Amino acid sequence: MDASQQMSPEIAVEVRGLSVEFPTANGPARAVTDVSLSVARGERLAIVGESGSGKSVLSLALMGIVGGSGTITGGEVWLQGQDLLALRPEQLRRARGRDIAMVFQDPGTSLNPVISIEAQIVAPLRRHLGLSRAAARERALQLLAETGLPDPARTLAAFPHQLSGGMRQRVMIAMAVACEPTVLLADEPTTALDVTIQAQIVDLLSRLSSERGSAVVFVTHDMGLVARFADRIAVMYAGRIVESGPVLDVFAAPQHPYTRGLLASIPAVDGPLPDRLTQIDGSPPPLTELPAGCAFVDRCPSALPQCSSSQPALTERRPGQVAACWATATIDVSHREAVSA
Amino acid sequence: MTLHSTETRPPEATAPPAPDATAEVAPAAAAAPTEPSMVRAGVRSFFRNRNNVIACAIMVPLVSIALLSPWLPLGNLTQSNLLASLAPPSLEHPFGTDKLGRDILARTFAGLRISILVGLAAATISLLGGMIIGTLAATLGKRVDAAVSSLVDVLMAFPAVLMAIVIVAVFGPGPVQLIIALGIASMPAAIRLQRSLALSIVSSTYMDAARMANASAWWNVRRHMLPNSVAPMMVVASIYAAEAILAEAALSFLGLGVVPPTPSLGNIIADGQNYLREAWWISTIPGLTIVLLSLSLHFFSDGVREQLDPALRATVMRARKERRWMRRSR
Amino acid sequence: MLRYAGRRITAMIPALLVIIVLVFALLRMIPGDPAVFIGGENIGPEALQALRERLGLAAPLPQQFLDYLASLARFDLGRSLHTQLPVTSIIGNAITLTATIAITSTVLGLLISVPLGVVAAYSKSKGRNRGDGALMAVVMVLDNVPSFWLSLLLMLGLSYGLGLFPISGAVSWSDPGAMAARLALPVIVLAIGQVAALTRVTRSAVVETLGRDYVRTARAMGTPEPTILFRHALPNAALPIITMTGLSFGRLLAGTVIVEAIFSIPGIGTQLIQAITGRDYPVVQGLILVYALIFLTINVVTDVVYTRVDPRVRLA
Repeated sequence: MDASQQMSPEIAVEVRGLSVEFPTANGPARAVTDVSLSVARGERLAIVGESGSGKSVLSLALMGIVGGSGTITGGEVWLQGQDLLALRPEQLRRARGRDIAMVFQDPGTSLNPVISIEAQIVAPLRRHLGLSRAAARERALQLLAETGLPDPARTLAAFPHQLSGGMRQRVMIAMAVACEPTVLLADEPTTALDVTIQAQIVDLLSRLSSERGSAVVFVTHDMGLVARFADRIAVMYAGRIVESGPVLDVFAAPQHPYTRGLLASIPAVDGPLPDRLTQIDGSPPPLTELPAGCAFVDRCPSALPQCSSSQPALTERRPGQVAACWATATIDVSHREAVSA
Repeated sequence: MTLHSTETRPPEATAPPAPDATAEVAPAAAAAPTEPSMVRAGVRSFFRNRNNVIACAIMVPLVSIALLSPWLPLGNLTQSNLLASLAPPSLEHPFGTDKLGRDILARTFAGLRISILVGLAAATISLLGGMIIGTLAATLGKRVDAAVSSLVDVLMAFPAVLMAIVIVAVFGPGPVQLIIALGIASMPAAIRLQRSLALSIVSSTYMDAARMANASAWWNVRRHMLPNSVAPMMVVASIYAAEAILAEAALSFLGLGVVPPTPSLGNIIADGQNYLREAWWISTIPGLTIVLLSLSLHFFSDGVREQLDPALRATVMRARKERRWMRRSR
Repeated sequence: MLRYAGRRITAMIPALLVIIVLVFALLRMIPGDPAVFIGGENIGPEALQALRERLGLAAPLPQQFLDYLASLARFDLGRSLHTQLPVTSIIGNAITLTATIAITSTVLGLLISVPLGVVAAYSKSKGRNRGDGALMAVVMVLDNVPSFWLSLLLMLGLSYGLGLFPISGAVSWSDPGAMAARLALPVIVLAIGQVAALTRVTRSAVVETLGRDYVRTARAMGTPEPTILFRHALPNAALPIITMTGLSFGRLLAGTVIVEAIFSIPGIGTQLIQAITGRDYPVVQGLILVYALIFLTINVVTDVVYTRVDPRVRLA
């Protein structure tokens, strides 16, 4: 923990060199490769990237969960002075839901259809906080009220299929924040919802997490949500973080060609509508055949010869903003030298 | 199993003139794979499946024993020899003898013949009946379909053994009655499967093409429905055969099937029940034979299923699942 | 829920009619003159006519059918040709025994299969395919063991070998302990007969639910694995298991025919075999009708149980 203590005493979670693989018929698929990041208490980190970039796998791996036959092949997740991934299964289980919790993408399928809302919220409260049945119920009512559900008592008695999508997601959020986790993960918590409800859910998540001082790791591909909600952004491509930094800085001056492409593909809300949206040609390489160099090289407009042979490291471009790119590294260095001269 | 991939082409009538030749040859060759290379390829892919290999490893010896048993030096089947009554397994009688001194091995082999015969014949009856009635239900319009389907639904509620018992109650015991009874008992399930197979084929694209080409209904049935149903029906038919074998044994055991002195696996076991304490060997070997025979048919069914077209497999799996549920009938 | 059950019972009526017609036809399908077949070749003309009257074969066919329906409406299934007892009372006496055996062995079958299926599903979901494979291989072998042969093996081992269960002697409720010992083997045999189907369906249903999002949620909330399996996954897998239990209860009832015969237990299965071998057709007809009724009832009960287990069905 020495490194993190030097950086900030308020660090909530620190990930070092996390990698996840899934065995496939064509060899192992490297869904997440060597990811490091840290989030401070009360800070909100948005992880963005296209489908298959490994952002959802990464968020689950933070809790030591990998679906199917996948394995975490390396890395550490430091949370409250311990490496979650080095814990025994039983200790890891105890940390889940208490120290680190998650709001899932689709509230329609993420709540158990045959268990009442009450039982689903009360169980973790009793398990993790040792509350009595009555106290846990009281706490559940209070949580549901905080999420803005109109009739908490009726919601408690209901089953998931009796609630609307927005109500279910409020229940999910209530469950996730119930034990006041140090870290709250949210995997595209609004994609399955109506556009009108999306903003409400994000505001709710934001309010409840800041009231509790939880760090939030927010997985999305919606740049509008990132701008509205996050403090920092991390851009993932083919299982790696290729750029990260404060949202405003990254939006203003993206350092990785992929980030540029991603931002260029969004129309500006206040500007004139472009004739056609920019899109990044091609598609990411299969995760079973990642190249030795940068995975973006085939789609990159400014690729250099060394890009295909060696993997660029994340280097600091501006305070707090890092990117992994050979091409912009050189430009930026010259730029910085010019400024300092 | 290669049948489906080639059959799913549009019929020659709608195909453009140039590739027409291949389109015309392919379905014919697939429906009756006479070409040596195709046969070889089929055999090779058949044996690449583990279930098929296990099925053959059990079935081939059992069937050859059953076929050859009259010529094997096993002694007389029905002739009693009271000197050798209830003799335990020995060199002379590897599986011992029964009360009348008859060799259990010889009687088991003879019973095996009857079991295989009953199983095959009953499965063939349910298969043919199912294919004919099922196809008719699927093609003769809504009213026929509704009538057949509701009758099938009612009959499906009856376990096969019970239905066979009822039929035997009407027509009396005996191997022929048994074959008919067991054939009819499995028929509702076969009808239901063939009907859904035929319906899925009716709605497929190459049947649309055939309709546009104004192909006759009989042509469609002969050219598409029947060839495409054979392999999936084989999957269930081997289960029907296994069930018929178990049911024959059960009925003969109860005295409602093959009646002594003709040996059958079921009535040998029934005979053994009377001497269970003194002569455990009488019932043991025939029972084991039934288990092996039935197991091999299940392996065969699994093997054929695994090599089916994925689209057809879904339909068969549904029917088989139902069938599995129905299986507690012995 | 009552209204739902009522609707399901109404839906049974057409099937019931088909069955009544089939049972009515049963006697009349006997090749030649059924009365001669039953009474024997040497029966005198008066006796033959009397037998026809008793079997309800004397009147013209439509009249016969109406008479049959009328007596059914009075819950009159006729009298046994041999004992002269009303068929309803013969069945009434025997059915308790059969029902006891069938229900007990279904419960026992579920108690064995559900944990087995859950364990197999769990090992499969954890990638421990060998454990799953071994379990399913055992299940496959069990599936192909005929119940009557299994009965003999268990008799040989448990009754003769270890002297555990009596296989003959009175079947009477006056001594519950002795009764339990007497019924133990048949119940075990029938329960084992259920294991294959129930384990398989439990396994595949639980494998499916273990891959669902809500199981991931439960895991992410720190739910202990046993709770995930039995509280989160299993109830969601209940519908196929219930369907299968219903279906296999029907099949099990057919199995009781064989097992009752082996262990000489005077349930309805034994009555059926005796009636068939003794050509006691009023009893045969009555029993077939009762069996059919039971099968239809099981379907309704299965559907109604759904609504108790799955809240989603409850509203539908």
